[in-house]
Amino acid sequence: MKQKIFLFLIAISFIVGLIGLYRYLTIGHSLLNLNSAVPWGLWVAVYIWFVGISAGNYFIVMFWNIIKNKKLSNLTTISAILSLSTLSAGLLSILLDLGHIERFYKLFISVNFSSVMGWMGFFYSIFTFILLVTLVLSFIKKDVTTKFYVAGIVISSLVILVESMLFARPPGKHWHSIIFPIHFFVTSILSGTGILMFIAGLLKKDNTSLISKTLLVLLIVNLVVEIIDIVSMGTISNLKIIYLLTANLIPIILLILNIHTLKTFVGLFCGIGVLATKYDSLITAQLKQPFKGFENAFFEPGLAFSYIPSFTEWLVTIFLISFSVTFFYVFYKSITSLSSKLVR
Amino acid sequence: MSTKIKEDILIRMQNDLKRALTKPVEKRKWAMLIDLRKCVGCHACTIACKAENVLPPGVVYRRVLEIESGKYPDVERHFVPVLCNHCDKTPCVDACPVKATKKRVDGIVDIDYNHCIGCRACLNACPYGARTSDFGKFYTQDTPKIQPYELRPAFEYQKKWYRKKGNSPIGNARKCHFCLHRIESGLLPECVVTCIGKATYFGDIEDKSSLIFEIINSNNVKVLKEKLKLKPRVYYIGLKEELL
Amino acid sequence: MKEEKNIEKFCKKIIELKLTRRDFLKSSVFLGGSAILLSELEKLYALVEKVSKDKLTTIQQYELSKAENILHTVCLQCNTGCGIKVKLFNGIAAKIDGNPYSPWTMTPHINYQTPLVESTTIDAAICPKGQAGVQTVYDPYRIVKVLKRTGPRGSNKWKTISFEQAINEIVNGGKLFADIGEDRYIEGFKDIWALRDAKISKDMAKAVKEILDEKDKEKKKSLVEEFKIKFKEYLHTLIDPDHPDLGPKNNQFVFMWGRMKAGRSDFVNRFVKDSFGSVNAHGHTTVCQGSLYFAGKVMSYQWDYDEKDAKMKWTKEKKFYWQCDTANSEFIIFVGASPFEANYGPPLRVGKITENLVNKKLKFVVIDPRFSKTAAKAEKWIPIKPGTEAAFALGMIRWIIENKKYDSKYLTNANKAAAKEDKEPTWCNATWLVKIEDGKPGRFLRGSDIGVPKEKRIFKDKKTAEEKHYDFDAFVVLKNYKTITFDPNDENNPVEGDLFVNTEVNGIKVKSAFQILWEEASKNTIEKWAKICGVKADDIIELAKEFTSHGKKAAADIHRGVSQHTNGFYNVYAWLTLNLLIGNYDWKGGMVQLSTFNHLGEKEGQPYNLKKLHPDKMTPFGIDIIRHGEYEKSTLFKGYPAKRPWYPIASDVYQEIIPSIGDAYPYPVKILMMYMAAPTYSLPAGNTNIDVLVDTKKIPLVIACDITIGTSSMYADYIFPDLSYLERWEFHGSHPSVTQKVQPIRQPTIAPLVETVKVFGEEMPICLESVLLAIAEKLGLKGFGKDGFAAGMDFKRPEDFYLKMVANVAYGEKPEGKDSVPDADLKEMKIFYEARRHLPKSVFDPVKWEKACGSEYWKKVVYVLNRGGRFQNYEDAYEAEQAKNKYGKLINLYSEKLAKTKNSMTGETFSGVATFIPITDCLGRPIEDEKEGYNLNLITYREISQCKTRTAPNYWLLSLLPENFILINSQDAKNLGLKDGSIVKVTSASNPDGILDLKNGRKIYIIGKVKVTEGIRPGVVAFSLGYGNWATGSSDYIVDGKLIKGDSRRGKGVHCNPVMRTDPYLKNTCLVDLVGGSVSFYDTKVKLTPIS
Repeated sequence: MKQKIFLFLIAISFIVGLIGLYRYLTIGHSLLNLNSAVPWGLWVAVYIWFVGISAGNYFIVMFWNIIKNKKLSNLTTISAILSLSTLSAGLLSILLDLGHIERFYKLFISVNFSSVMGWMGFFYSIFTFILLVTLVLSFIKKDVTTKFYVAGIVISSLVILVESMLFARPPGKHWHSIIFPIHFFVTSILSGTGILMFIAGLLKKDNTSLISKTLLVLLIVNLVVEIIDIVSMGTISNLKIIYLLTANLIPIILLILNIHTLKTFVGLFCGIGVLATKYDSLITAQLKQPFKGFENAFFEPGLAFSYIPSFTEWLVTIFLISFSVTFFYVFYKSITSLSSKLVR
Repeated sequence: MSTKIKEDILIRMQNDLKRALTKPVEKRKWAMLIDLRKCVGCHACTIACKAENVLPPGVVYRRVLEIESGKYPDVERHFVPVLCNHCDKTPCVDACPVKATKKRVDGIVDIDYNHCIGCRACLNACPYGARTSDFGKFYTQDTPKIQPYELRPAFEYQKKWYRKKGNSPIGNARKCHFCLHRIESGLLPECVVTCIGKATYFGDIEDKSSLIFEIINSNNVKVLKEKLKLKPRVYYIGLKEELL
Repeated sequence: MKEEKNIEKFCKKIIELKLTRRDFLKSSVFLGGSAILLSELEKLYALVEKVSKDKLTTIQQYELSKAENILHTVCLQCNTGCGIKVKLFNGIAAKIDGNPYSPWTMTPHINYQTPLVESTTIDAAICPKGQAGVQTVYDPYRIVKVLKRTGPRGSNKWKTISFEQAINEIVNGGKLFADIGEDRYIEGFKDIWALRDAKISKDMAKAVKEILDEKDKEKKKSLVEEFKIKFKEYLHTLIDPDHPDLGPKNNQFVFMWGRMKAGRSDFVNRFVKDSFGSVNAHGHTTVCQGSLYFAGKVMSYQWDYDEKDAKMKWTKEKKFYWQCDTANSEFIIFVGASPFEANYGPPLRVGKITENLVNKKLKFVVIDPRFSKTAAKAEKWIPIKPGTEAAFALGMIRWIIENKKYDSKYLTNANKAAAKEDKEPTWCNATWLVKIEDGKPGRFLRGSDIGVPKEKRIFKDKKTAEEKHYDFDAFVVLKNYKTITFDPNDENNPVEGDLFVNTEVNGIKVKSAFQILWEEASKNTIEKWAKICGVKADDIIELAKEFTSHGKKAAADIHRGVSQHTNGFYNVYAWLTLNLLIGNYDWKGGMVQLSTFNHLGEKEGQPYNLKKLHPDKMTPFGIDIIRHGEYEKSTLFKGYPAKRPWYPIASDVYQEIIPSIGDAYPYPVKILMMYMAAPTYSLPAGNTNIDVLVDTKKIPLVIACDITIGTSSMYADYIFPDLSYLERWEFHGSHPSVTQKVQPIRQPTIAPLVETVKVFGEEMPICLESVLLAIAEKLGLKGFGKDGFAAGMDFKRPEDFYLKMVANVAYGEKPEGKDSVPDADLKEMKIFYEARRHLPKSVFDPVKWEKACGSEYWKKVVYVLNRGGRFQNYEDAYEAEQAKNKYGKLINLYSEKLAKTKNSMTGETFSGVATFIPITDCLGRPIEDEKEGYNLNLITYREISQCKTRTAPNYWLLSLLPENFILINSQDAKNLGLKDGSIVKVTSASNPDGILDLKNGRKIYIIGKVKVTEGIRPGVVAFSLGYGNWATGSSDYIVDGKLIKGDSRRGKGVHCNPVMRTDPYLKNTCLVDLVGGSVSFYDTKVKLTPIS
């Protein structure tokens, strides 16, 4: 029964998302609030969120494999599929954000290694390769040396690092402190673990209690990092306040109380909550004007230092989410049916 | 005896420009100097640049900051034109994932519109806010009819760019290029010629006999955000950065 | 030689084959069906793109810098008129830059004889408005077909009708609006063209002059009776036979214009005055800086023989004023003037100021309640209290006289000979003795008053060799207690006088003019003068000291801040008198005047004297609607006060035109034609004009000629589209701070964007000229059409008129063409034709152009047109330390003419010398709005990026400042609890609700955003002009039943003119300056009420 509702929900959001995507592809940028003063908007936030989940959950699973926790190792396949689906959704969202979508292939051929985005293409190809290898290995149930898991951890942490470096490079709108990469790292793993927990719960895997313990640890670490970040920056946006109160404190409390029924949804809640904090860090950092009175020198659409995602941007975000979920669902279903056929 | 008034600085700089064009391109080192004591905040440079390069809504290469300070009646007003500084150390070029923007040998930082994918990484990388993105808007799009001055091609980088849907420069990052298409034909950049305060100087600072070299050496010039050490090529006289 | 050969072949080919291909713009039917707008440009887009797909190879010269793609003309985005080059791409005006030949854009500008090809890569400087000119020309809301209203006036419901139908209806009249329920007969042009005989009009004019000059009441009445007998069969042509001095019914056609320059104004005066015979052709001078022009006029009267009246009188005056020779001055005081933002020309003046500022050759001070961008670079900013400018000048005058810092050598010269002796180009009447009649200075003392008989003189008329006898009564000065009589224009025996004289001669109480000035200046101590101005006494003293320590190279340069008050005339007179104290007129760095090449051909030897080239000129007579004449002389005189003010000194009194029509004083008007005019927007309390415009009884027929449906043309019955400034002819003239002799020429640079019609069998675009030509054709007016100029010389096309003017300018002003421009060589002829290849036959037909200006002048005309006018080289404007184009005559420190002129409201005579009078209404009563809580003094200013409604379509400029604000001092803001961005309603005693009622159901509240600043005097608030525009494309309208949505960007911001104080006595007009005619922009007290 749960699956029926789940499928119905996904279908609805897919269609709604598609409408938004269609309108955007036909009418174009006028539907968006993208602007030059705040160059990166909702879709870039969605992108770093997806890539965070993808690398984060793989990191945590590899970590468990290393410490030989059998209970969690059987999540490797799920994690690989989750990583693949969220990574592809992430790349798709960055493609849609490009001014010239049809030239995305240039990201992979004339790569400029002094540019963080240049590394992106490179690292993500390696990471995808690792994920595919993991899938194949877990499929044929071959036991694997820890060296492989270590490689997995290294690659996934590099991916997160690259992603955080995207926003930390001076001298442009450089981000306020070195706390930023750490914050990025923790939130990525947090969101990965959260979503993993949710899926594990959905698929009736019995190892959710262990994951929730890890999640709790991560939530607390994240809280600490966020507070340090706020103190060092001196200001706090209300979006951050809402995030801390809802997607950070409440899950901590729920996990401590260990109410079983809510457990799976807590994971989802944390996973989605991380989007808010990443969005907040991304946008507030770009609102800093290069000079006093810069905004008042010229008033035209796209030059004001303020940004609110437009309706179409939300629609396309819904599409991206439903795309990754569908990608996961289809991939997972086909893998499990294939493996059961083989077993027979 | 009526002292013969010396020639307008535009003529002097035009001759400097023609002399520089005889040199091979890698020998030229284009730079700009803005004497803020003569800038009267008229914004002609901003609008002339818009008109010359057919810049749509949301794209602007040069803006003039207007800052008021002091208490009545000791009040001050300062006008500071800001544009791409064509820095020698280019964070924007580093940020571009597809090498669509480069620092030319003559010092100008240009963009290859056919190569830029419109990821806007360079907009965030520039500390001077000198880059903007063309989102395909028109000034007269919501009026009864789009007008010819928005349909005629721009001549940037010596090519004809028609802003039709899906074609570059729509979707690209755009920036000041010191009016490269004008320089190559012996014309001074648009913001230099239309500066009514005669406050904007331009030329090849390698050429010791050029006006810009003469003035830079006889005044203490400053650059914006010196602490970033990007070695900008737009110098200012009378810059009070503490006000910015 | 070979190259010459094929250029010649090329030119011939162009002439023969001229544009047989149909004019591509004509094919795009601008007004298919209802869309009256520039809507059919889709084809243009396709054409633009199809023609040049190829890549521009690097070696290829930048297309827009080639001679054959550049046409020179004159900007009109404000009245400065900078020379511009229009760069064309496939017939589109793609880019505008400064014309290097023009002194407006470079200092010095390039030599006039620089070959054209060398000028193409030199772009010069123009302001942001000039750069955005293409957005005015290619405005999506431009009208391109004739509109006729289909609803009540101002309802913005229109239908398009053919040009022929419109002309037919306005000429023949009839029940033109019966179809929308207006059952009234409207008199057309043919009905009110009552007096058609030129001879009779001449005789009547002479007779009326005798009636006016007759002082005795009874004799005046009998002269009127005589008149009625003498002209009994023509009495039906008069407005009112009992008052012949009202003139013929022809005067009931009034033509008023906003921005119009020479060429077109000569065209209009020829139509209205010489052919139609109406006196009513009026400009807008008083809304700009009337009192500045008319103070200049009063100071320029010369006592000389007047040929028309055959006697000595104050004559040869000019409507003009002086400005500082900016590039060569060492110390300038800008009073109520901001050359960095307006003041006839940032491009013209800024470069000269900043260059000398930086190399320490110039210091300047700004006196202005607002800290303008000019003040930002000034040595000192003095925030004066608005309306007290004369007090500041008189304070300086007092210090200068007390400390004997004036140039006594200059001031003691009484006549031309004395001036020549001291090598002074001008002289003034400081030493002339003035009779004190019952305690008040009146006329000058004359030789006949002290027993020196009048001298008998003979005037020999050069042409008719006729001799006229007249007598000359000498003026008198006192030198070491002895009286000396003299002739002011005597060049042989110099006469000097004592400056301070207060004595009796032959029992007559007399004072020297300088003594009278001293008594005015010493009415108050410097501290008291400072208190009146709200400034520090040291400021006055310091300025006076500095002003008198640069010899001739100092000047007080004034503009609207000084003239646009109810006491504007005397504010101006005080500051121009201050300049007299150091005798800096015509000196390098001092006060200079403009000079232009005569385009009307009045100088000896010039090809076409257009004043004479008229077969049968009417002599318009009668008082005009704005009553530019003396009330006491008119037959309407019924004691004081007059029903509405009369203006003996000022003309072009813009604020009187429509309200006077509303009051039908001096007579009712039948037809009003407005050209490029927006009185309802630009006038203070301009909204009072709306009440008159909407009333079909007060003005039966209102015609407008405009490029968009503007803030005033929206109230017209018919709107004829016009050509924008890039599509038409004009002779822009010059401004006082341009010392070179010039004539910038505006000429067609792009194909007309309006419909093409046929008049006198000639194809031409609809515009002001074609409308007037068509009316002339229908009426059969003399002076137009076949043999319009003279036998065998037709006047069928606008170029027939304008190209003759270009020939005059090209010929120059010296006989035998010694001063004419060289011929254009073959290369320049080739460029001339090539650069106009995109112009259709309706505008450019080389065969007709050559015929219009005469083949012998054709090459010179091309030489001038290639350069966008004629400009003297920079150095040729100076000789030694003086300006070459000199004023060179008497300057009146004391004006007898003014002292004799009576105030039409009080009957008292005006003061003949500079004085300080407080702000009053037209009856001289003070205005005390403070008592009702209106205690903030409202002033206006101009951002450099805006003009008035003309820049509404310039979207680039609106990006600099999308909406204006109300500037308020931080102290005042705190007291009113206001902060940046607060919304306030602006109200005044004459508009307590702060409402602009458009009388079409739409009401606009005068509400604006506040901007708190330190840069304005406490107690003063300011707003910039050009915003709060309720038409010109910002509001919706219906054409042929189709709704055209307005563009809200063009209507943002607040326009506080509707709140400006109306005169308590006149009620339907703003406060006025009775002497100089200026409207008061800066004397309104307002209240700001915060709105949540």
